[in-house]
Amino acid sequence: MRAIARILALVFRTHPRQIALGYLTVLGAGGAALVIPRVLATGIDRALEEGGGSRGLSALAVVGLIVVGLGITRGLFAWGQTFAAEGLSQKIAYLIRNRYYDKLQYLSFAFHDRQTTGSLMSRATADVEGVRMFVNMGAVRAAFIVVMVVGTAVGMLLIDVPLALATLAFIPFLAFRAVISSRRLRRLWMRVQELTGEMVATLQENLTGIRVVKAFAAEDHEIAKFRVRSRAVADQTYRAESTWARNYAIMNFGFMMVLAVILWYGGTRVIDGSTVLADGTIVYGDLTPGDLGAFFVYVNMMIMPVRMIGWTVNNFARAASSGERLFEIMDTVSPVRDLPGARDPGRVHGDIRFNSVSFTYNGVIDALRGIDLDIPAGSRVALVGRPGSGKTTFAHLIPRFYDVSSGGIEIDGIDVREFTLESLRRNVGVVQQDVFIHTATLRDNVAYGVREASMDEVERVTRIAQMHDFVATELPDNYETMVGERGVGLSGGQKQRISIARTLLVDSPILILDDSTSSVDVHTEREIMAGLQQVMDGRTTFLISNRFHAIAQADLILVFKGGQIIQRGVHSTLVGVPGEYKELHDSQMRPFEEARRAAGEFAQGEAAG
Amino acid sequence: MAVAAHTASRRSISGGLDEIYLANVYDARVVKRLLSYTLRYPRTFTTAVIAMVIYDIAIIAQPLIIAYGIDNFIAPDPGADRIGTLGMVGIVFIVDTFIMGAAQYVQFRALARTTTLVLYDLRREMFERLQSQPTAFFDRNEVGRIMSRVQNDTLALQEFLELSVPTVGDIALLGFIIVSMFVNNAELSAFALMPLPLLVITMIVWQRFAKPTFIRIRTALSAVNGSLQEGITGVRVTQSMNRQPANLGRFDTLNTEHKNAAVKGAFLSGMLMPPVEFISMTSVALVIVVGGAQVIEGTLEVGLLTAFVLYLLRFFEPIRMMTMQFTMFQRAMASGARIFELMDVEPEIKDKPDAIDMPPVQGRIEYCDVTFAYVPGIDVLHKVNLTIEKGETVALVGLTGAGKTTLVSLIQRGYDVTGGQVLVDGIDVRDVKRTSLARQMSMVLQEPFLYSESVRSNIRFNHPNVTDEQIEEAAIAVGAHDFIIGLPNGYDTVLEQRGANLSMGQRALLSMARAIVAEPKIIILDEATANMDSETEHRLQEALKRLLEGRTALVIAHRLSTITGADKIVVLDHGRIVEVGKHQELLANGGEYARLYAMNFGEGLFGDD
Repeated sequence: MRAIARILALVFRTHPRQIALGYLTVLGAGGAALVIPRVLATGIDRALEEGGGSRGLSALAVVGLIVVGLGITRGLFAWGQTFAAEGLSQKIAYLIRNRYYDKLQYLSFAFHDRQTTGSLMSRATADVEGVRMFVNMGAVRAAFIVVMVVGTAVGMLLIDVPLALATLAFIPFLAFRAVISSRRLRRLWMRVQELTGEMVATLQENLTGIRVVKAFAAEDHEIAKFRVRSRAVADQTYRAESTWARNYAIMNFGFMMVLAVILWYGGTRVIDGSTVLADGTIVYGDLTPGDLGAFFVYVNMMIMPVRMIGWTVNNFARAASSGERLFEIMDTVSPVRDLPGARDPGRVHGDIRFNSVSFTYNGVIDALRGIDLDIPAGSRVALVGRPGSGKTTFAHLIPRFYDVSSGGIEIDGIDVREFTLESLRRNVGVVQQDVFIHTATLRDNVAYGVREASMDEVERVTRIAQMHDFVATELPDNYETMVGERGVGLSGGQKQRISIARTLLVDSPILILDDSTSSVDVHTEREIMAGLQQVMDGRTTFLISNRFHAIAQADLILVFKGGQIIQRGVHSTLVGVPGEYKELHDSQMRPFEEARRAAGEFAQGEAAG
Repeated sequence: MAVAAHTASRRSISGGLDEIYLANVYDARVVKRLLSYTLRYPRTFTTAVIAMVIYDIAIIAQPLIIAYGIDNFIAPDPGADRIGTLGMVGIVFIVDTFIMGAAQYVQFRALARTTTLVLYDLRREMFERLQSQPTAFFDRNEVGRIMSRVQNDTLALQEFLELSVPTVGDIALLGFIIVSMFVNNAELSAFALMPLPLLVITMIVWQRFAKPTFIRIRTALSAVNGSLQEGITGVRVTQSMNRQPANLGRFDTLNTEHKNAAVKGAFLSGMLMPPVEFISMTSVALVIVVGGAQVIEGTLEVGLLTAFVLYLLRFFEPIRMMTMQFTMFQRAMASGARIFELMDVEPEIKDKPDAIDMPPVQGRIEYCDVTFAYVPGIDVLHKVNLTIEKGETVALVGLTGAGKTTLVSLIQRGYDVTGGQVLVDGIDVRDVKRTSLARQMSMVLQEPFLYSESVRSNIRFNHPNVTDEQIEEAAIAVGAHDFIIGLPNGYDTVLEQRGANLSMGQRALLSMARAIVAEPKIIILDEATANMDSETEHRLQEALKRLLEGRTALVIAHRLSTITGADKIVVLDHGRIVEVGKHQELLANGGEYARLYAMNFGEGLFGDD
């Protein structure tokens, strides 16, 4: 319920005038609607009293005009109400979406490692919709329900207390049923959602693994599997809908019973004691036929609001859980954020120092332990190690993608936590392992970090990344070609090259290349590395790679194992001493050497023979 | 080159799905086909229709019963037992109400049964059609797009089916009401219905006027969600490049556009209310004035007048609902068109009508003058001739785009040759039923694909007759048994999506075990490029030996040990076989193989397709 309070606070604080307008129209629309039965009743009765002739007719005409006038009034208020409630809900949804989006942008890598895109998206769609519906239905129109239920009750009581009480006795029961059944339905529908999710997962696995299916001729197997899943969805949907149908029918029957009560009990009270006077006029009992008509109309008017009570209760429950899920994200404080007193030191030189840095991932695994290191500006450092040895983690600590668990990292003698995040990341360019291409033009993708970059600059970095020729000759609109999910598909290697280009464009004094050419073929990789030579001049560069021709050129090689740096030095010395580096190197080189020797022997044998 | 061909193929080969965004409110072909699905369940469908008619009649009867009741005690006949009559009327009313509720319940249930079964059939048939599509289809159509058809489009149809039949019921009800009114009092009916054409015109005008806004809202929302999704998946790049403010700006633009459209939509849907109220109240007023006059004249009884008012109150709601459903209808028609389009894509590769079952495979494979093009005119294989003897292991090497993957795909008819033929045991692969051949082959892919099911069912896959013992034997053979029994539930451990709770090496071992239990005669293996630690590497090599024993194998090789261990190495370059031989021979030849070899420096990177 705290979530509900916060949603309401947001509504009242940001749009006080609109919500006031909403309540005003609720009163107006409700009032107009409530008056109509009374006008009808008194009008008809009076016309009947006036009897035939022009006086009776003109009395009827007056009633008719008033009814039309009230109709228009009600319509205008209903218009205002829809506009106010629905419009307000859209504005709140807009606000929440914007805040949610921005919050996500600033939450740490660790947060995003834990969350799946699917769950974050479902918050942004289903949960925002849940809150929006609440603002529309719960916050504004619930007032309409109250006005209508109370208003019709008062209207009935004013006409005749005993009949009104007899009629209203049914209402709590019906409202209670509406609440119960809408809760049960919600559970049934949630189960439908779950089963649908399972069906979709089966479909998704089938489609992503379609090559395996084809390879094993497993189509029938898959069809049988999907059939079971979709059948479960069909059956559960049917179950939910049957329950709904039963409830709907019962509710309707309930209301009709109310009408029957009015007809019988009310009718008896009209008849009892009624007589026909000598002049032909009729004197009724406690009630007139007009009163009875008004009761019918009132009950009709009540059907919708009472039904909506169940709906609204559901709405509250959904909004409470949706709101909680949204606020949970929005209240998350990223540990990686600008600390008090953070400053922007401008462009750094690139001296980097690790002071007994340790990093624990998710509080469990020691990803890095006791790293001490001094790297002078302009060094080319290669990070080597098997998967999971800690080299990527090491690189990610420099731009504060994660914060160290203990120790500290300094750039030019300033702790990275004293930089503003913006200035730190401006100084540290990272080509990440996971490449992300936006649905935008190729040019916009390259200029992602420097939006005002000129075409010449974009082209220059694209050339270094060995991507220009492809762009210029193969893409239909060259640099203006749409790429990404809804654009032209690119290979893994091409995406990596775009990623390199866009990092180069930022022109940061510290550069991290994290396995950034793994999907590029060897030939192209060599050309990229050649192009990077001049770029690396005057920058501190970290290169994570498995390819020894690139590693061998580094000024400093750091060998990682189990979160520690176990060897450091240059290629020529490391390769000569027994240890991890030599092992890694030899595991790649030995077969080559052996093969060469064998080939040499073969060739000699050939020559000899 | 290969990349360009691939890019081009996405755009130019037929069989890609087009996006159908807009459709008419009524599309005869879609409706006809949907109807044919509905008619597969004649019993439930007929039940629904009959129940609907009974329900409508019961509803029509209600105001008449009330009228009868009112008239019989309002016109007091001194001698009659009016209270008794009223009691009778009350009982009839309750019976009628009961019939109405029961009929409605039966109608909704039958309807729910029909719609869920129709949707089940649609999903199932779509899935079956997808399974019959060749690999090329999945190259052209992204998983997301196919998913959205099976998922979102069927949901749109579900909504349509659930609402459209009640809507048909509403229309029928309107007809019944009109008939009933005219039978009872033609003159009054004519007056009551006079404003009706005005209402219809208003609706049509409004619909024309409001339609663009509702389309705009939908388009804007999907842009907002698309941008949000990109924001989440690309968050690491965003943070690294300090793009948060710019991204928020872009998101805000889309979000604002949606808000504005939605607020306008709220304004427009409310706008309809005053005229509708005006028209319907005019109708009521006319009935009161004209009917009231008739009552005064004595030509109409008060009860019937009440019945008319009640009829009118029932009259306008369905009409208003129908207008609201206009956009939903439109969406459903577009969805239906998209679904049927998917179902109508004829697979390009189908079994010949006279295709035979592949006899038990021995394992001899021949490529005779094989030419292949994804895009007509751009051959990716040129006159390839190659014979692989039974039991031989052949390693395919070559740069990215040399045609290795294409070459192996032709055996299982992932694609059909453009020229020449592929023979297995001397039989053209196009002359046999695809599955009968594919079932005797296994394919182990570079990226092993595992299902979120138990380890056991992942190994068994589509061979239900494989016993638990055989599964265990296979696991032992590839050296996976030890780690499997170490999992929380051993062989019954359910894997996370795509086997995320296993290491890369473990996943590869499982996919090999899967290949073994299939007892294939021919194995196609796309070796992984990724680096693994030496322990895993060793295990994989051992497993590979077991897997290839006594089988014909085609290996897209990346590991030197695999290459050197092959009976024959086939070197591909730009779609041509340039060298065939053993490792030493080829190195000594100093040709393409030696060149590739030197470039890769012995590392397992002969490029990947």
